[in-house]
Formats: sequence, C-alpha cells, structure tokens
Amino acid sequence: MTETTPPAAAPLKLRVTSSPHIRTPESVPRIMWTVNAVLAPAGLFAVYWFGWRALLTLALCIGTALLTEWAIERFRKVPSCCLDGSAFLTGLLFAFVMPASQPWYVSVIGSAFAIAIGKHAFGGLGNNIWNPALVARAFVLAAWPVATILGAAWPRPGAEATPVLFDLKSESVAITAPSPLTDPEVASVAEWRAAVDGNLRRATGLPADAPAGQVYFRLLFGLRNGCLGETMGILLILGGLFLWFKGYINWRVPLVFIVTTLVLTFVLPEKVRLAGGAVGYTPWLSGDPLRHLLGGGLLLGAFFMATDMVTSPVTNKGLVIFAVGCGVLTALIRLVGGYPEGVCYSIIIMNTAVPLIDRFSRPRTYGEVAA
Amino acid sequence: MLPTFPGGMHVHDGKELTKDRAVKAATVPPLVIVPLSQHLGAPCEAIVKKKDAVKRGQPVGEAKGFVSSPVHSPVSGVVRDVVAAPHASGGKVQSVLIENDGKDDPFPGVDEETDPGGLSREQMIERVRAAGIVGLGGATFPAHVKLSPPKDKPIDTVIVNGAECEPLLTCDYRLMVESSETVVRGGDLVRRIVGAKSLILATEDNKADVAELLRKTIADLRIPDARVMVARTKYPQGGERQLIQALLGREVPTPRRRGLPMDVGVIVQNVGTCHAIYMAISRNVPLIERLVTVVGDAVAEPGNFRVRIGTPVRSLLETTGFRTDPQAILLGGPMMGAAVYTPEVPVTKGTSGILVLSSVIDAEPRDCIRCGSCVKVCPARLTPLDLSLADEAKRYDLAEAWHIDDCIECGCCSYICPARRPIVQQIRHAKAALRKARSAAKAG
Ligand code: SF4
Ligand code: SF4
Repeated sequence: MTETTPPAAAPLKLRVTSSPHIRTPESVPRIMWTVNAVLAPAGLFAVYWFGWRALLTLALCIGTALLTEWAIERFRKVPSCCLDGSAFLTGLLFAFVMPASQPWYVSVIGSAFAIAIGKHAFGGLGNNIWNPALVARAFVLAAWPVATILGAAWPRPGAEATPVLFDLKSESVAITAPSPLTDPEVASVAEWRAAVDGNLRRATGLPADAPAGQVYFRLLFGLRNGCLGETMGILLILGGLFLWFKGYINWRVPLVFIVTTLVLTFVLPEKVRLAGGAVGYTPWLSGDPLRHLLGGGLLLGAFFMATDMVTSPVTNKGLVIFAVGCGVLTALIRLVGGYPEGVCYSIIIMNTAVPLIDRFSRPRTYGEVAA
Repeated sequence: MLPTFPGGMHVHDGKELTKDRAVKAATVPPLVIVPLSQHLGAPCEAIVKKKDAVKRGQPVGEAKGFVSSPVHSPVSGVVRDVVAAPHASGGKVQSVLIENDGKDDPFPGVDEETDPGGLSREQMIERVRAAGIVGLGGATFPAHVKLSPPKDKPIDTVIVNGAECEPLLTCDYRLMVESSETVVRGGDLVRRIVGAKSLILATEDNKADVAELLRKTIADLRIPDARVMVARTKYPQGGERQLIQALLGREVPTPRRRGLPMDVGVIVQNVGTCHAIYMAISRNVPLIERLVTVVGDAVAEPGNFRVRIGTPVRSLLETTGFRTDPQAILLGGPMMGAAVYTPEVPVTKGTSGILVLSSVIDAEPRDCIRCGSCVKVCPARLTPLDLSLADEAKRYDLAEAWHIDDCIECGCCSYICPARRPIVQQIRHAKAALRKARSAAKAG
C-alpha cells in the first residue's frame, strides 16, 4: 500500500478550468519542427549535390526568415514565435523552391518578403491566404527573372566539389542544361519528342544515347539540376509518407494532386514552340507523365506545399477539390501555359480559392437527415 | 472489423489504474447533502423540514412536473436544514442536509422483493419514476421519461450502454463485472417496458473480457433476442447518438428538430441506470447510491466505491488520501468532467467519477492554423474552428447557422487542437449568448 497523507489541513486551493482536462501532446511547434526534420535529408542532399552555394542559400534564407519573424513580432508587440519552427520552415521551403545558385540578395529579400508580406501582413501564422514561401518565389521570379532563371547557372563548376558517392566529375560540366521541364524550340512537332528526350539526358548529365530507365532513375535520386530542394524525389516521397503516418498531412492532397497531374499530362496534347514563333500540338494520349512527376517541383509541391495546413481547406472533401484544382492547373500551365513549371502558381491560385472551397465543402451535420 | 462511428478519436484510456480494483463501500458520512436538483429538468421541491426524522430511502424532494425526478434520503437520521449548498454546477443549489444516525433504518417498503413478472408496464414506469432514477452515465435525464415514448414512435431496440468511453473511469466496467446479472435483467425490463424486440448490450474492445461475461450471463439467464456488441474503442462512443450510429448505422435526427433516439426506434440506457431500474422494480430500492471511480495523479489509493448520494467529495477523498496537493478536482471524466471549486460538493446521481489532479492545463492558445484536426474528430460533424472564430468575433448568428446547437460538448476538438484553442469553452460561451438572445427575443 502506498503511503497516504491526510488531506491538506489548509483549505484546498482548487482551480476551476473548463473541460476537457487533458490535451494531445501535439502542438504547433512540434508539427513545424517535425516537418523541418523531415525536409532536412533533402536539404543535406542539396548541399552535397549543389555544393557550398546550396549551403549559403539555405543559411541565408532560414536566417533571414528567423530574423524577420523576430523583428516583426517585436514591432507588432505580439509574443515571439520565432522559434516555433514555422519561420524556419518558411525559410527552408523558400530556399527549396529556388535555384541553389541564386544571388545572395535574392535569398535575403525573398525570405524577408515571405515572412513580412506573405505571413505577417495577413496577421501572422494561421491568417495568411497564400503559402508564404510560394508567394516569395512568385515575387522574386517577377523581380529578378534573369538572376533566377531556374537551372541557368549550374552551381558546381568544374570538379572542385566532387561528390563522394557518385563520380560525376565528367558530368558536372555537362549538366548546365536547362531544367528537365524546359520546352525546347523545334522545327516541327515530329522532332519535339527527340528534343525533349535529349534535354532530359542533358539535365541528368547522361550521354544522348542513355536508356530511358537510367534517365528516370537519376531523376528519382536527384541527380539532375533544378531547384535546390526539389531534385531528390525519393527523399521527398519518403518524407511525405512519414508525415502522412504522423497525421500531419492528409494523404488525399498529394495523391490526388499527383494523379491528376499525371493523367492530364499523359492525356492532353502539349504545346510545342516551333521555330519562327509558330505553335503546334503533340497528339492526345502521348504525354510523358514520368518526366512531369520527377522532372520538376511536383513532388515537393504536392507533399510539402499544397499540404500546408494554413492555406488549404479543412475538410476531406475540400482537400480533394483543392488537390484536383492544383493538378489541373499544374498540367495546364506546364502543357499549354507560358511557363515550363506550374506547381507554384497553381498552388497559389488554389490557395486563393480556399475560402470558397471551405464554404461549399462543409460536412453534413450529424442528424441532418435529408428531408 | 468492429463497428464504430465516424469521427472521434483515440485517447489513452488509463483504465488499468482502477480497472481491477473491486468496488468497496465508501464510508457513510455523518452529514449528507442531498441537492434538490440532480437531474435534467425542473428541480424538485423539499417535502421535509428542519428536525424531521427520515429513514433510508424516504423521499425528501418531490418532482415538479413530468420531466423531473424525486430525491430520497440516503441515510436514516434527522434533517438538519434545507438550504442552498455548494453544488457541482459551480453555484449553490437548494439541498436537504441530513444528519446520519448510523442506524440505516429503511423507509417502509424499501428493499421489499417483488416479482416484476406481475407488474404492468405502467406500474414499472411508476416505480422507476418514484425511485428517482435518472441517466447515470452523466446526462441525468429522468429515466421514466425515456421509458414512455409516445405511441407513434415504436421502439425496436434497447441498447444497454456499457461503452464507458471516458478515459480513467471504470465504475461501469466494475458494475458489469460484479453485477452482470442485474445489468442484463435491468436491460431486459427496459425492453419489456418499451415493447422492443431486441436487446443489445454494448461495450468497447478495451473491455473485451466483460463482453464474454455478458454473453455468458445472457445464456445463463436465457434472455431471448439479446446480444452483446463490441465496438472499436473510440471516444466518445458512449454518446447516445454515436453509439446508435456505431451499432445500428442509424442517425438520430438533429436536436434542432427535437430529434431523439426514439425517432429511429432506439432507447439507450447506461449500464448503471439499468442496474438501478432493476433494483427499483424488483427490490423497491430508490436511487440513493451509485458507483464512483476515484482516480487521478493526486490520489494515493485510487479505486471504485459504492457511494451514498449526498456524500461530500471531501469525505470520499479522506478514504483515498492524497499523494500530492491537488490543484483541481473534477466530477466526471477528464474529457467532460466539471471542475469544482470546493471539495464540500456532494456526490450526486450524475457523478461517475472523481478526478483529483495535481496540475491543470495552462496552455496559451494561439491563432488557428487550420489544420483541420477538429473537423476530423468532431462526431457531430461540425467545423469547430469556425465556431471558435464566430465566438471570438461575437458572431453568434454565424455560430447558429453553422449548427452550434448540434455540438454535444464532447471536447474532442479542444483535446486535439495543436494551437491549444479552448474551442469547447468558446462554444459553451456562444451557446449561452444565443440562449440569452433567444429568451430576450421571446420576452420582447
Ligand atoms: S464541436 Fe462539439 S461535438 Fe464537435 S468535437 Fe467539439 S465539442 Fe465535440
Ligand atoms: S484543431 Fe485547432 S488549429 Fe486545427 S483547425 Fe481546429 S481550431 Fe484550428
């Protein structure tokens, strides 16, 4: 028997709090830091793959984000949340969607923009309409189109930082190609496919006659150029699965987003830029969905951007509508729009539609039986 | 796959702390406090006065109206006074204070055995009413009202609710283990009264052992058309509407249109209520005691106790002792229990547990991050985040349009919110504001 003490002689000082009297161990900082941790391997891989420039970009983006958060919270006189992981995540994600080689001032200004305008201008975390990192990306892309043209500058010139895992010395120079999604300009629609395939091989540092399997393998394992954090598809997929397992993301979003994009990029014709400014279209049902899955930012966007809690709907139904919208817009922008990449803009557009989606996807209240 | 309802969530149940502790009779205190309002509905009126001698089981408060329930003296002794005394609701409630003479003399007729087979439906309902039986799961709705559905609402199924979904509480479990026969017989009587065909004894799979026992009891007693159903453990499965949905797949119409379980042909009674109904009908025992789980990190000797109604919480805690200084005492479970401001409040008919905690939650709420968790867990399928914001903005009209009245205050949303928003508290606040506005509109 445990030793029992008589009840306190002094009248008990009881506190009257409202039920429930127990709470989940989950919290906003715990969620945010978990997502950061899940993205860390992809960040480390970027440093390994793109070299010290990636490290610099990451450090600048994250550092600026934290500093901006701290300064604005002091200015707004609200409790400081700069260590709750959300500013860190915004900085990290902003770095992930930009090329590792971007100039230092783009990192700083973009990251400050993400926190100040993307988040605090709306009232802070939870009140922002758009994903702050994507808003910042859209902003810097508009402000410095040349400095940030994705894939234009390959960050590992020469052989000075030879990766230990793969010997890429001979290839690193070759990978100065446009990103795997860049639309080549061709003389006729018939030549387009070959041009795209050639592009893919250059983007992955492979010789022109390398088999397709090798190309996709290198895309999946991040051995390509592109934005800092988007290249290593396999890490993003595993990380996303982990977050789903933890209950931090709803599986419907990445699944529906990705499947919609893949189906449409396979089914729909793709616009081809022909020499002399004319356009042509590839035939229906002839797309290459794998290139669209692994070649751009779809995995990063679907698992880590579209799933942002703040800027996505709250019901399962709403999330499915939202994800379909993201997928359709991504496919349309990539296939017939003016940009090779559409993930960022499609998510921003769908973020805008969230209040509307939420309004029309309210669950049917229990007992609200159809009359 | 075991049946369950959509929404809800898993909470660590902590039942192992008291599950195997057999029920002990609690000390009957020298003074009991019997509130005249221990049920949902009109309070009753005292029918004894200062210095009156009373016997155990003697009515001391008479019901006013149909939806009301009488109260009885849990001891024999002398009425010290009829005054307003501290009550679990937070305020003071008119109560009969009775000095216990220690003799436990029964009121004439109490404890007399009767064969229920010889009683008519009306006689049985009257016994239940006169015994002051209310829902013992915590809702405290007068049992005789539930047993008298109107003619145009035929009942086909009676569910005996042994889900006990609140974490930490095990008194229903102990009752099923120790008195499975009276529970089953009580359920059978309820079925007879409402003329239903089938009887379901419901529990959750964290109490699978009791399911076996109930099955055996049904077989031994040769109760026809009765079965045991085990639901997948999830909070708040013990909610009437949730249990009906889980077991029968029927959805009870919304309370906004006065929907009740009988609208879908079902009556749900808690296991403790069934036991009390059996005792009232076949032994003429009024509701003067109940089982209570005493547990919590500040309790030295947690356990299950048979407690006379009106026993001050302080008296019960003297038996269990404290491990540390308590910071909060709750009546009920951790999810829906109400914190009391003094240990002088008495155990009433609806007290299923006493939780003594060494600390309370002190979390700073922050802005909603729209994670959607509250929507996912809400068994009423509301959007708690919107209700919380509507209360903050004092837009009670919006809260009403978003069906705030359907909230069963189960607490899932507050529990799960990573932003630590006090959603249920806000919902209660908005509901109160709406009630006020409505009665003002009626008066004006
Ligand atoms: S809104 Fe009401 S019913 Fe829904 S989870 Fe919250 S307390 Fe429960
Ligand atoms: S659980 Fe809390 S943070 Fe999440 S949506 Fe609901 S109110 Fe917002």
